[in-house]
Amino acid sequence: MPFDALNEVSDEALLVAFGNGDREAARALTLRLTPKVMGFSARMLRDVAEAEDVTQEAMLRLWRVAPKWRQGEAKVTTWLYRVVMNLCTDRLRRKRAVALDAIEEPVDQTPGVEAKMTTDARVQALQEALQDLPERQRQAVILRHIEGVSNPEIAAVMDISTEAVESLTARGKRALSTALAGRREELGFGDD
Amino acid sequence: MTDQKELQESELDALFSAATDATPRPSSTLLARVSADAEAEIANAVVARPARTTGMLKRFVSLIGGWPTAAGLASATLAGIWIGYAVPETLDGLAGGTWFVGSDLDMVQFTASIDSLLGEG
Repeated sequence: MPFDALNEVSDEALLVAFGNGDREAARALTLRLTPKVMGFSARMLRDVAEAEDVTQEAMLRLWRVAPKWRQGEAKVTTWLYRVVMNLCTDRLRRKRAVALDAIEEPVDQTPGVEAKMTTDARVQALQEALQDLPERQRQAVILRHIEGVSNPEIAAVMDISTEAVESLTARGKRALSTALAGRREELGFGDD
Repeated sequence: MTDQKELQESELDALFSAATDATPRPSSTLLARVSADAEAEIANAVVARPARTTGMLKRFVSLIGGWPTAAGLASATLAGIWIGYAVPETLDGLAGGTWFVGSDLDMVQFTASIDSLLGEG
């Protein structure tokens, strides 16, 4: 099948085709899903190298599950986000455990350029504030407001109700608003 | 000057939007790693499929008692099929012409004849 024609094919159909040894399906899935996985894991971990490792691991698990994939049971992206979420959680826990033993180990503060009224400054400030949120709130806010995942899909990823997702994102947003209110000028919002 | 304790909704949305635009993209190296994994899984599956068939056959044979049993089972099955197709003409041939040539087996009478019943009365 020509590669362009695969743009219209669903993730699930591509995965089943891959499970039957279709290399074009593998290529299409790689280009379609790797950016999503990378984006989410990078936001969760704030470390590009680690995010790349998680992305590779999550995609490898996807390749391995392909021959056994049960059609119609779950969306491929839902399954994938859940795998990424678990992998990130494991890494963050390990990191925290190491951090307790480390002496004066500076947290990987991506050397943010000085806070100016720039997009970089906004992204940096938001990332910092996100890191202070409880883990579940952070996951829900990133998936909903940065990755653009729907509430029902987040509910499936996190194995909670849609109402619980709404509650998590609402509390998360409020916490972010409060945390960043003092930096309005720095973020280029100025005085009204 | 505003004295807000929270950002406005639109301001927070602007931050989210900036973050979405700045989402890290996978490097070409990472894409190559992911593709290589996919290729390896396809190769593994091709190797694994025939092996799995052999494994199932072996498991079945060992389950019924090994190759001698399997050979006996196959012979019995073939014989059964042959007999099933051969009856009735060939069975007569077998009984009369092959295995029982010269025997009086076909003359044995298992029921009392009418003559003996009449004689007693």
